[in-house]
Amino acid sequence: MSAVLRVLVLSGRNDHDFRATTPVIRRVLEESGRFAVEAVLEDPSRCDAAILARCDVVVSNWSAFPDLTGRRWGAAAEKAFLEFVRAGKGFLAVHAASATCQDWPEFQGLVGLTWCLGRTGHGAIHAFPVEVEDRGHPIARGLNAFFTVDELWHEAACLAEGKPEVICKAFSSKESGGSGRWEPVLVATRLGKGRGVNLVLGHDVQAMRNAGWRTLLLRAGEWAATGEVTVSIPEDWPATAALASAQAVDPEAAIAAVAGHRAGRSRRTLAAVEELVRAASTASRGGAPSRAQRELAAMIASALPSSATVDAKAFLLKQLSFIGTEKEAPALAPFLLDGDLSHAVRSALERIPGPAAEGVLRGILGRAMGKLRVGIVNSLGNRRVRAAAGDLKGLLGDPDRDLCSAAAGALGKIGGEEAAKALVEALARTSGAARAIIGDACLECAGRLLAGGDRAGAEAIYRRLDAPEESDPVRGAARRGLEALGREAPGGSKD
Amino acid sequence: MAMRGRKIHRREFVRRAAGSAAGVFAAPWIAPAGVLGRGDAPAPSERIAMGFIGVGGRGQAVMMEFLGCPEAQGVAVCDVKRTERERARDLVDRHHGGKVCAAHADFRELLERRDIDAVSIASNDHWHVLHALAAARAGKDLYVEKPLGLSVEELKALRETVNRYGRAFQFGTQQRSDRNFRFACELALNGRLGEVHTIRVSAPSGPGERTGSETWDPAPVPEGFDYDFWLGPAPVSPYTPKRVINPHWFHVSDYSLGYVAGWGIHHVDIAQWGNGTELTGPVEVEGRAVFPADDGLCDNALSWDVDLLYANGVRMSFTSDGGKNEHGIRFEGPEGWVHVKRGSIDAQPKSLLAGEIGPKEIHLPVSDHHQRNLLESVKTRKKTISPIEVAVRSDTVCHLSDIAMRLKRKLRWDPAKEEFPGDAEANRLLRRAMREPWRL
Repeated sequence: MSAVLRVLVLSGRNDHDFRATTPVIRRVLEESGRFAVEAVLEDPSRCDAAILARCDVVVSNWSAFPDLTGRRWGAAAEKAFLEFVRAGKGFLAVHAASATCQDWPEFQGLVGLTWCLGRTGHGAIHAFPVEVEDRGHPIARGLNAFFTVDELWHEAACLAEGKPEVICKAFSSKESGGSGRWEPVLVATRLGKGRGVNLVLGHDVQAMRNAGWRTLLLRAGEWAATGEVTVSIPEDWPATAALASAQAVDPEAAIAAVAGHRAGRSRRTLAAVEELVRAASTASRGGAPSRAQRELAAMIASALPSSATVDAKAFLLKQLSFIGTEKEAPALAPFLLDGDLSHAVRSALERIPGPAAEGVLRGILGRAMGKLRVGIVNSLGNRRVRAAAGDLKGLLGDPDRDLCSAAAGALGKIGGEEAAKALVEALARTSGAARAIIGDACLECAGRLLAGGDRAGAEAIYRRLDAPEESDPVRGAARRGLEALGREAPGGSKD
Repeated sequence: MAMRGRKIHRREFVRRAAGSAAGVFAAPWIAPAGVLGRGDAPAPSERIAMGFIGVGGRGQAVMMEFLGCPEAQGVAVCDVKRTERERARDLVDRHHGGKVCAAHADFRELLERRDIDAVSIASNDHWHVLHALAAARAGKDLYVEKPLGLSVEELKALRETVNRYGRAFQFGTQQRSDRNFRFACELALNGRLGEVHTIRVSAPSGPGERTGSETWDPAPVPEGFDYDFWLGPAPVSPYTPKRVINPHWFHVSDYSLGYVAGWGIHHVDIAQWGNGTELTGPVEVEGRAVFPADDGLCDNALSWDVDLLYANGVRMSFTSDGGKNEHGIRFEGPEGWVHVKRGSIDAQPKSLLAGEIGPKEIHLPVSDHHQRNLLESVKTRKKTISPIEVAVRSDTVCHLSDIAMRLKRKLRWDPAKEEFPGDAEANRLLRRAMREPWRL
């Protein structure tokens, strides 16, 4: 990766919510690892040569709208800024940042497009696709179309000589209150050795959550600064309207809205979070959870303690079964001892990949009582936690029949010599219905030993179970096991 | 050998029943004289004694199909709803002409009865595998309604256990016992369409069956209904009548995958059969779905659209959109197509339908009655038309579809290992935790 690019951010004054959007722009730039913000100025007249000398690109979220003229920066700042760009650096205007300084020709040349009173307009905020117009431009290279939920300007005007280069466009539909024409949404310009970009999209924080918009911001900033682009396409590309709509939701607000949920109330708030969870899963490819997934899982886990109702907590835990990561596992431990939530927690812990979830289950086993302990034993078995075999062995003689049966089942699933030995020993001292349960676990163990190549170990178990004191089904299964061994034995009988 | 064991149980039981009518095994199987002389039907002591677990609407329908077979003898029913189990018990009694049937509230009691040879399971989807596992461990042969289970892990555990105990198993995909479906598959498998490249499958998603209400009030559980037992391995949730009635529960993810499995399994199973992939599965799956935002209970997909790719190059489109694919299964090749659904088969060219499958061609096994096919297997120990290995593979395709539409990204599937290779985030969805004390 090339050196970090330094950014001067201009912010303020305009009719948009810059106090909310500028921090998002800053965060997106810095979290990419490609940029560092040198300063944020709310007064462009302070944009002097000293600051600019430390920067590679000016990113503007500043506008004096509705004053389209008469709000120049002052001669010194304007001179320093234009020299900075001409010398080979760049300028990136975000959304309304072009709708100002229409009495400054060089500025208009850099933004390429601006809001023209009486002509330019926009329809309602809605989901629409953004298409690539110029595939050869570095900003657009390898970029596929994406959906976003944003305000789409139509009939923006070019007040400078020469037209800007259109890199991305979107169709402004009549139904949304638009022009019925294709409209530019990302244009590029030149000034001396430097470059200007106008990213017309990005009306509000919601629009700025879109991964497509974020990619355009980063690539445009990079190209403006250097003329080259290295930022790659993110994994959570909003290729569909549904994905874009999910990205537009504020996840913290959506999760907070679930906090008081009670069964029987509308599922609307739940469905919104479920949609976020599915979108976050989409972003994860292969073995590792994506950043979107990790962030959402962390948000859900941190909302657990403050959620007022059991129903809300159980719902959030179910979402962690889909997207929870190792990082959330330790914080779930206390809920394993809560009778109303233990099952929901196990739903998450049985699914979270990696050893952390197993450690949480093992760690709490000795403290859980009654049915909750049975559940934890079941989870250890389902995850086949070999390290738990020692603890589980001790439960085979427990007077609680459910616990004893659960331990046998878990040891059967875990398998291995240690489990097999413990189960066969327990068989001898168990009677009644529980004996068949332990017998079944022995059979499962034998199957696993065989699958692992230990024929002698499997055969010993089958022979032990082929005895009149075992139940007919267990004995019959043991004979089947022996018959199968006989068939497979080298030189053994073929029928 | 297994049959020998069975007969010993039967004699033991008849002896005990004749000597004393008391005790746990006191299900009154002492048949009135009239039952013994049903034409050339076997005497009751030689019939296959059956228990029926889950006897709501579908369970009773399947039960009556079994009872219509002279070799079957109903001896017990089980349901957590008293009204259902008593109605079913009375049906069995009336059918056999005497008080022959016991009604159990707890399936474990029914399975303890050594006189029962086979069970038919038509409980709610979230109970299928638990009931079936317990029955197999108790040495019973099984008929299990579709769909099979709530996770791929459940399916695999059942396959292992059914094979461990050597049980006869019939899956409730009864389209396999229908000539049209079999013939369509034989046309596809024998190259009558050329090399099949596409299979189009469509099944309804049941959008009209949701509760349609955004909110509901928890209600008292009716007398005679063991609601906690009904929930079983599913999470605890307050009772409301709509939760537990057919068809709403099909659309609640705690109890079912929804119609992607509930209806889809029938046609997916035929697609697997005619594709020659009934013992394996696809290698790639990608899906889209619309999930409900405004139903107070139902959260399974309102509609789905899934694309699957098989190692043999065949592409399968599986959707609830009847406009995209016609309801049923359509096999397409360069030389024609065949489309089949219940009650109709069509092809292009039409002459395909008049063709006969030659002696040297692939002939699929024939079953003309799905329930009797199990009873034959109970006696002969030969494979049923829908054995466990096939059931698991077909049901897995429904699970893969469900997972793909939730993750909304292209997934690779390894049918040999039965996992998503190198994809821990998809593999985690192959299992789900059961409420304590229930376990696989």
